[in-house]
Amino acid sequence: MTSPAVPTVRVAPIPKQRRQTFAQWLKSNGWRHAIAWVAVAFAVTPILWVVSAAFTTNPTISNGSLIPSQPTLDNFTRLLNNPDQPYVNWYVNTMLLAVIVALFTVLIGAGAAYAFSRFRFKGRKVGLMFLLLVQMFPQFLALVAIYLIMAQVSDVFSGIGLDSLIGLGLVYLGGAMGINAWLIKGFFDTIPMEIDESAKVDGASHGQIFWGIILPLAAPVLAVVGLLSVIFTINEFVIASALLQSPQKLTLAVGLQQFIGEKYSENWGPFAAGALLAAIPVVLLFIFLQKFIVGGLTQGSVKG
Amino acid sequence: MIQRLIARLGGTPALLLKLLFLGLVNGMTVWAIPTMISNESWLMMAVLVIATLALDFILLTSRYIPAKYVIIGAIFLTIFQLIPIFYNVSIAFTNYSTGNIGTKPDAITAIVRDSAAESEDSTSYDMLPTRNATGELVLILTPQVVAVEAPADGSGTLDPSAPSASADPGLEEFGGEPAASEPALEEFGGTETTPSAAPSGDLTSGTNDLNVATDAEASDLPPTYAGTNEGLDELPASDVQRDEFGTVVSATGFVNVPGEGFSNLESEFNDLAIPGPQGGVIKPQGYATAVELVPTLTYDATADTFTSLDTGVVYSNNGSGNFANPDDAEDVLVPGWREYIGFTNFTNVFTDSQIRDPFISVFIWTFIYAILSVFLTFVLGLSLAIVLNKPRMRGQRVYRALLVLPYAVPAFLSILVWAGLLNDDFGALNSVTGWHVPWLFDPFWARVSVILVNLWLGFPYMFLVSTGALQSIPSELQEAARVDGARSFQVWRRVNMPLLLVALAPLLIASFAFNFNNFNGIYLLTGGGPAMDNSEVAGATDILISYTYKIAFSAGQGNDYGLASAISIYIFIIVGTISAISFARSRALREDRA
Repeated sequence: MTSPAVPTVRVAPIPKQRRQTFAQWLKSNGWRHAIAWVAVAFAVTPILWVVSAAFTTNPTISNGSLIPSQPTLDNFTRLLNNPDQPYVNWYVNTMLLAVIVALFTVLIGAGAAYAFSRFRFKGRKVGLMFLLLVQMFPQFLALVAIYLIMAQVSDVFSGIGLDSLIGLGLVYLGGAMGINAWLIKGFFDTIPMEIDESAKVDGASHGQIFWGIILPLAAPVLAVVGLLSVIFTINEFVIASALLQSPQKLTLAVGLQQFIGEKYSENWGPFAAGALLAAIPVVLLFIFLQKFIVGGLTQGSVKG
Repeated sequence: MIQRLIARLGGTPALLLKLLFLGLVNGMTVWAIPTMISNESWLMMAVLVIATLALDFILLTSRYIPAKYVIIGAIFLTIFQLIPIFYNVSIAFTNYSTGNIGTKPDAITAIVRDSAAESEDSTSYDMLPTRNATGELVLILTPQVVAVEAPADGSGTLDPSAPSASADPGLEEFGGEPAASEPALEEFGGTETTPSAAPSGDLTSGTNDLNVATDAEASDLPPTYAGTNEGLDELPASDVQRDEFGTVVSATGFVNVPGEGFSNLESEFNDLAIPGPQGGVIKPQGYATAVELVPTLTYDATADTFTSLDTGVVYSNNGSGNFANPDDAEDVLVPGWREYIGFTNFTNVFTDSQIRDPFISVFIWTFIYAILSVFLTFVLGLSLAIVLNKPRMRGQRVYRALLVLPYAVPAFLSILVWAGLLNDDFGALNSVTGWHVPWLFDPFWARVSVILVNLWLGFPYMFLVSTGALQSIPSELQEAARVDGARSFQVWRRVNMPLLLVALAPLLIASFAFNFNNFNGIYLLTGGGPAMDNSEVAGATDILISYTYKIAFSAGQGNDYGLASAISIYIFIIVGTISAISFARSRALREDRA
């Protein structure tokens, strides 16, 4: 950036300038492109393969080529019209669950972050350390216990115990506070206290400061936490597979795993279609929020 | 605008919302209390009541303002993270597993019921499945009179009100109500808790029909009973219709189950256990006969032992949840019950060679997998970040966007897709390259596969964070080094790398901790397989967490919740220790820099 000004071809073409020879180009940037191409091929080929399989009728995994010769939507109709594999249910279940859990996760995390960032109270430090410690015991390590607890909950509240998406969502919220509170608190700490204080002078209550000032200002970090939560929920397999049972109540991860497991040759086409449909919203969301995520990742590392 | 809207909401509507929420929570708790009392879920009731009261107190008073913002998250954390952890620890000290699910009384009931067998003097019945006015299944039972043997012998003892003298009186108590124990067992969520006592679908035993005396005179006809789980109820002879052979064909007040409906009766037959006059239970054998099964084990409550009527062996309480033959520790009665067994699960990992050998292989592989995953993804990600970190390089943004794609696709999908691509019969990789590599079915190649797939999944993340870290290194530092005469390699070695590592070390540790427990990366790709020689549960690619999962939930030899919980505690100790050390060290590093 601070290198001495070199006139670039684009800005000010100077006729006398020698064209780079191929060897020179190779030495300066060419090898970079070569490596990048190989890496991109490694990254993208499996994805292209699935996209292609999704639009090929009866692809065996092998005979699919990267560009389907006669693209069809066969696999999609096969996928969506199979009553044994209620893909639409899985899809709706997963997306609704992910969004709702993310919403509550953000609120729970932000609430805790607000308390730890803006108030000084007894047990504050201990509380913060405690959250960090609890986070080291991942929830799914206690899977057996969670399963047995939910079995007992089923006997009392039949709708939110085993085989219930609400129950699954509640379990996920158990892990909402820990690391998220830390991540969000790091951001809250950068918002000057003076803003709160001037609002307080104007008669704002702590609730109004939280909802009206802090939360809107912290939108970027809330977006990151929300997105990470969405991705977590969509990917979560262990707890969901232990708690959910009925076919129409499964999430995509559990449903698709059962759908494709052991029947790769048979179900490959519809599976590819299903995978494509499931991946699209997440990839779009990711691209949309990528800047925030990268920032959040590195920030989390520095703060954490 | 949104801010103003929210500010305006701060008044009455917010208060109403809060009261509505609290009303709902309180209502649910109060509504649930009677059920919890009848279920005897005391712990759950205590948790729910305390949580509700705490919520009410903190949200309705203004004494603890910060607590208002933490309480809901804290309740979730407590119920779904803290309590499970403690519960998990307590399970680790029990023998909770398939065969040791319920309470001791349940186990005793089940042992007596399961020991029921057809003995030489068991009475067989002709059976006619019918339904009564309320649609309940009722078996019309007529004792079979065996022609070869002395007739009418059996019928003399067939008075439901007088149990035969040969049966132990204690048996009645347990054998009489086997159905009652079923719900109690299911409560613990165990799958396939008890083997079914009688092979009810066994049609071959129906050949007994042939022995029925067909020439019996009307006056000698045995009485006919209506059998339900409550017992046998003798029907007046006038209510029973017979065909010319004397076989009962219908009974007044009962509707025969049509022949085509028989196949649906299986589950109802399984639930049926009619207390019989000999102290056993009458179970259907096929669709036309039933036989009274008599327990072969008797329980002595004062001595707390079982005695086998066949062999005379006395089974005593072995202290770890089973009745066992004192002369042969392997000879235990199933089911057992849940019992605290101290550190047995923890020590078994080191002393029981059947558990130890696979555990050690899995343990070592877990470390290899986690370390290799972090190392390879970091090397690849960082290298690409360096290669692409050239100002004014053409196509840089496109390259970056494409390289990040594997990170954007939900990992579970990618892993399932890879499992297809690596399939050795028809997977794309083998068929395109013409190789015949058993990617997922050979122990070595399966391990290569899980690492390869994890590299694909993980390098974009490392690429992203490395790029970020590289760009945050102040260029003044590099220039200063150059001015001082450092070559570019030296600049890298002495300036860039240390700065990078300080910034990325916590992420590398986190990545290690993640991969240490990367369940999806293993289970969705290989299922932990292929199987290892020394274990029925562990496979070559199993890491500790997937091994634990299989022990608890999907092992062919049953579920061992106790052992699984103990191993999960070991995992916690390992990951916790590593995290704590690295946390302290990275802190030291950072302070060093400052």
